[in-house]
Amino acid sequence: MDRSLVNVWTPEEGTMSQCPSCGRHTGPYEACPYCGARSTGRTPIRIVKIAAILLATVGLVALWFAATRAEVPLIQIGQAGATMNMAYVRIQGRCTREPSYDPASDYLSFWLADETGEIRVSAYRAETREIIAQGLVPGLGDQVEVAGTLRVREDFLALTINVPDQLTVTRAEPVALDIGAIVPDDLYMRVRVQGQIDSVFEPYEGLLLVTVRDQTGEIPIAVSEDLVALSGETPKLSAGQSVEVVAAVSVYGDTPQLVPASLADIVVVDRGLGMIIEKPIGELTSEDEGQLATVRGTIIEVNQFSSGVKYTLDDGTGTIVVLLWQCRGFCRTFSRGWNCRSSTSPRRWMAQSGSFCAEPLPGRWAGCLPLSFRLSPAAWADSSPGMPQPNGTIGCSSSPRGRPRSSTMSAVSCCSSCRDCT
Amino acid sequence: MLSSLWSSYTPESYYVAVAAVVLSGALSFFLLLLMTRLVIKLVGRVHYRWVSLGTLVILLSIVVGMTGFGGLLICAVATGIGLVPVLWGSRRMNCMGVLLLPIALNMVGAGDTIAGWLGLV
Repeated sequence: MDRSLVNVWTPEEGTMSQCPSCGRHTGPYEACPYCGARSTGRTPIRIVKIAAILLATVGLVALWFAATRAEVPLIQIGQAGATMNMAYVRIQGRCTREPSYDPASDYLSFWLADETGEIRVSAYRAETREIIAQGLVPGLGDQVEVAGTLRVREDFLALTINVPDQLTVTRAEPVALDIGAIVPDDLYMRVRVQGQIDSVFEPYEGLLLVTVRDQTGEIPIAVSEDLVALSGETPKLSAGQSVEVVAAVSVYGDTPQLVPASLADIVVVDRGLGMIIEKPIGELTSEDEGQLATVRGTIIEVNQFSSGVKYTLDDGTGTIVVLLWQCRGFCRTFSRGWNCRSSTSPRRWMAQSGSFCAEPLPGRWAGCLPLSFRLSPAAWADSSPGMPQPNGTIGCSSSPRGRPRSSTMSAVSCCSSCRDCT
Repeated sequence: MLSSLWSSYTPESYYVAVAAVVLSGALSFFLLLLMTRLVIKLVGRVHYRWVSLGTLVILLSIVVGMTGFGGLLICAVATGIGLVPVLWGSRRMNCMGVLLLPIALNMVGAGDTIAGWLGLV
């Protein structure tokens, strides 16, 4: 074989993968498999082989090194698009919904929102158990930073937590507030309130509404079955207990409510909280408007009208009219000895501390009638000159000085359709 | 791979996608009869090296366009891995392990654990 033909290669003679001797395709072989000629003039294939191995191994190590030290990219929720499906990213946001937890499947999910959108964050089984064990379950309003795998659907974004350690929850310090000072604009703010449980109500299975009141107002505490499952304990709350609650402000419709991050945030305290201060009627002024008040006096006049009844109380320092809407049934309730309380509106729940002994309807009721009320602007507008005329609620009991049952109902339905009075 | 660009989330869109696949498959069969002759003529006139270079440029453009410089680095390493079976005479099928191993680990629920051991998550 003429070796000079092998050593000199030009494009005109063929490609590097062609045998310079017979012209056949030799591929990566150094020697032609057909005629045995060696392609010594080309780049030694051995070097290419070694280079490929080095590129593969060193490259993999370099990529692993870079990957372990690279920070998970932080994105805004709105940036997550279809091309980011299955991407491993980091997201910062506020927990905008109460976490959902299924103890049967160990499935945990919560929602995060930033300025650009909202995303559901989920964890499964082992990750969920570790998150709960580490106390990393976020509460409503908490600031959360989490890394996970993005799932992008047409109209839905989700992030799956792969490593619980990459979940960081920052919970704000609670602000001590009076219940009456909490407004819908305080959404997600973490507050600490103290008061007395007014009622414990289960509107449907899986949700418990614990209404807590203080001197300035009342607010429902939403205790969901998810919260109970996450806390691992059953709430033992009942009306009349004094509690201190740390929770985030949520809004149901346009009404604020509180959502605790844990049942441990509802602490029953021994000292009485939220009790309404008893005042002489003569000391009530327009400055007390909107406040809960308790008076003790004698009913000196009862006037029924088409929509309710007016009681005029006298305690020696002055008189006051207690206006009870739709109250005819209420009087009948007294005679039957039912525990009952009516209210002029859901926003004007009253406590029933204090009492006065009177006989609202002679011959039909004899006992101590607990009474308290909130002075409302409407009441002042309706009042006679010099005589406060608050709307209010009234508690009734079948036994003297008995504590009325903690049911909440509207004045319209009280004693005509509600469970406690019919 | 396509799921990063498009996924079917409703039965209707899934049926549309399947119908599109069936229709395009049928069309391609008939187009193949015509296009084969054209391609044979094209290959006869254009050097195979230019075809390969054109393919390389298209692939690199897609990689850079979709993943940037980092994707190009991964592409370079993948090139080295892809050359091993060609140069060393092993089976190309072994390279499928880059897909099969993570999928298998994820399906048995150990993917995150292994990734954790490697410090990747």
